[in-house]
Amino acid sequence: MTKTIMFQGTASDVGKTLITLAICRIYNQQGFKTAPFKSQNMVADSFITGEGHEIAIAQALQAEAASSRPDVSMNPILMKPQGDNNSEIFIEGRSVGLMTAEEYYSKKDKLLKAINKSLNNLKENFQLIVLEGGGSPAEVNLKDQDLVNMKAAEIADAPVILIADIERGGVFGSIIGTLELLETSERERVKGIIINKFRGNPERFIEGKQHIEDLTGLPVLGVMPYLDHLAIPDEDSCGQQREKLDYKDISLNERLKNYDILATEFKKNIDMEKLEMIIFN
Amino acid sequence: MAKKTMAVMIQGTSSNVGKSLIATALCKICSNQGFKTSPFKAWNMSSNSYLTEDGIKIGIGQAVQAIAAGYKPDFRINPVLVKPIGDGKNQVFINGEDQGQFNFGESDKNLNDKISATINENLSSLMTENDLIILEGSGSPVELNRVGPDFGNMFTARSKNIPVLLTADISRGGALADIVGTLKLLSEEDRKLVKGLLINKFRGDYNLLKPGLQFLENYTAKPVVGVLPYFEKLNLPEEDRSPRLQFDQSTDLSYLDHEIGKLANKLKDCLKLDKILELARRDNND
Repeated sequence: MTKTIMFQGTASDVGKTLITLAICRIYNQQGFKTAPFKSQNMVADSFITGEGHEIAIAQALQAEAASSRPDVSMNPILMKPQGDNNSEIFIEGRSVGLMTAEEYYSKKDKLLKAINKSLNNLKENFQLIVLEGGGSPAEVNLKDQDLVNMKAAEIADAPVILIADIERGGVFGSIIGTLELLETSERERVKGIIINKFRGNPERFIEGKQHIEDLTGLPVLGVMPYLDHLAIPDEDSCGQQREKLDYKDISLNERLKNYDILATEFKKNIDMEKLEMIIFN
Repeated sequence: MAKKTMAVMIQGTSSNVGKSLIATALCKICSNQGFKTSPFKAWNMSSNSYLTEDGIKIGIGQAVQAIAAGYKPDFRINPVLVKPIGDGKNQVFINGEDQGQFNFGESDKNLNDKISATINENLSSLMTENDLIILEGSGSPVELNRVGPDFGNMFTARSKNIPVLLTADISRGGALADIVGTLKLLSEEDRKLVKGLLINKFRGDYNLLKPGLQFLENYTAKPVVGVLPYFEKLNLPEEDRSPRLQFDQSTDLSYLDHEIGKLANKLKDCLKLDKILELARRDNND
């Protein structure tokens, strides 16, 4: 039976995309047929699959890390912002035109159908699906519109790992608040926490880790360092001013080398035994 | 009984949520309204500094806030300046006096006593001279792995019973959780000091946000006293900006007036100023 695992974040830009990629790499190396999945992705540029479908570049690179062919099922809904609160919407790789947020969410049934179908496709062809969430799962005012976080986890019946970014501080508040604002059934899906973008000696965070475990009753699977020099393009996160990398400027060899560096860092800093128990329970 | 000096403190759910800019705008707006206003930040970790006319280095953010309030930067507005010098070490200055280097996370009883006394003295003396003090916090008030007192946030707020406005950055999402989680982790005494909430860096459809604000007010029983827009870069010197900035008396800062004016104009209508001033009066605070 296909296994699933999902990475959600306390906010955008906490590092979900790269951690998802690392997991794709690690389990591919262990011999699992692995696929990434993000139900809905908002991006400026897209990747064209062999079948001519448009998907997010991030999912294409995650597929590459998993040595799998990028497929439209890995990202069934793509949104390209076009200004004036309009986005061009792609469902299953094909443009269905410009829509406002309101028009988009009025098509929720159709969108859910595409998500369901894509996840079923992946389940037929892969042993492990690594799902990535979007933004925070605790936006209570947008809960009815959720297609990318707990809704996707529910459809895929995936356990969830919550990633928090410690770079700017406030990591305790963001984790506790996120868990507090989830529904009971959603909170039960969360099986572990990863602290990302730690600067300095992670030994200094041992007590902090203990606090989080005591407060949440969940294991902190590890503390990932801030990785400065990784040549892997991250998703474009709206408004973050940061140097953009274009994957086309990095050779395939160089990309694969960087995927391996990331996977090694991940295995070094994360309790892989605990993670395995969560995935393969 | 002597009239109580008004005071309000801007704290954040993390660094970089926009506390400095909001404090700068409040200094300008309130001073325009005729309040004799002073900024104050008890504890500032910054590599960028301003040399006051007494030859004392303070954080650059407070210098800008003093200018916004219409005054020459005064060393009392930033009693503790901490400069990261690498290798997990900090250099600590109290009212400009070098206290030496300390390892990150080290808590020294003598140093803490001195910091505590100086914060209290500086703030008390500013309170006797001003109508209103706009205080700025540092980082998040619930860093559970912090060693020693939280001088930059609740320690100072508690010492003078100062109402706190908790600010979250909504641009990356997760703002509701940041506020709910931060409040939950505060002690009951400190949570009571939080009298209002601010949402910063908002862009998008306000109608989608409205139910979120309603939820926050119901859930926390604290009013949202402002929703502030996302700004494209302002030309104001920032605390953590590199390359390092070292300003002094001779630095031409005349351009700041225009930038501060722009900021204040933009934020004025987004803040519930009457409510903030009412909280700052502290009469009704138990």
